[in-house]
Amino acid sequence: MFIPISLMLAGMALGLCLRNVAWLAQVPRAITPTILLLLFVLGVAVGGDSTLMGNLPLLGGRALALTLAGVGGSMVAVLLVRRFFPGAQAGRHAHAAMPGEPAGSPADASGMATAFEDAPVPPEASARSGEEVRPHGR
Amino acid sequence: MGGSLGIICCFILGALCAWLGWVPDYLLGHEATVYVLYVLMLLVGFSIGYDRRLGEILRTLRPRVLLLPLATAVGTFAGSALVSLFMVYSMSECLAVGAGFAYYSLSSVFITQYKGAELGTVALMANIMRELITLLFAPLLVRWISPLAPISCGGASTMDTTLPIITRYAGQQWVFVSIVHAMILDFSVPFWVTFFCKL
Repeated sequence: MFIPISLMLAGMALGLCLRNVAWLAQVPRAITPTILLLLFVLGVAVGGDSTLMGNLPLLGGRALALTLAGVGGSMVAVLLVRRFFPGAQAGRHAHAAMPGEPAGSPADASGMATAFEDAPVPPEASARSGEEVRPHGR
Repeated sequence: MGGSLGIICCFILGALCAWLGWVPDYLLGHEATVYVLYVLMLLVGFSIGYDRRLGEILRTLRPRVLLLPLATAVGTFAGSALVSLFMVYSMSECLAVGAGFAYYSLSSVFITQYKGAELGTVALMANIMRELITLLFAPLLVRWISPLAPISCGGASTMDTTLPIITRYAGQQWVFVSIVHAMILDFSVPFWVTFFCKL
């Protein structure tokens, strides 16, 4: 039952203990191929089930209804909490999306102050490193 | 976007191979997915533990940032519970699908195990759709609702697959909020899905 969760916690403990072993930094790279393999195997499981295959359009419609409901609920929740985040009004930071916007501009500062008492990394660098956190599919 | 397409292609390829009968019978059960999931969980845990920035991010965090993952979870559950009134699935089943927060690989294997292949397939499609909606509608969500909207919409995917698009349209100042949001939801997915499947 709880094998997958225990495995994740065990992996975290292992990662914490082995932080100083440099070559293990390559391990997270195995995540993307593993996810692709998992999706392939899931596809095999669905494709081998003829009743499931026959109902795929119907199941897709139900999936869409559930997705839209979940996203809709989240959006209502965002409308309720956005006033606690300075600078989170609609369209207010649309300009910040322009490429070449200087890092550390006033807009940056306000958003950063919302999240952290002292931002450890400049926004520009963090955006880059952020993309490298775990560049894999879900 | 390319990553998501690759993932969908892998799924379709697998379905096609099995449908055409090119796959040996012993792979057809759901055993194989479970073992691949175990490997994946170990790898995901390892990469979280190994990442030095985790401690740094947790130390500098303000409690206010936790409001956003909380809002995403509560909003998703409220929406899923509401739509369950009009669906053939029970409320707890709809909540389990919603609790994937776009983390399709993990949640669909869990749900297949506990609730069967049909709901597992619905969960897989629903959570892939959530990621695609985030990728496609991020600019509009920022303009109409808030820079926080694409982050909330992206669920657990906002520190990897949807981070570039969020950075691009909401602005770089939301990168930390986005990463913290995903870390918390990521970690909570297995707990929520198991919880709702057992209700």
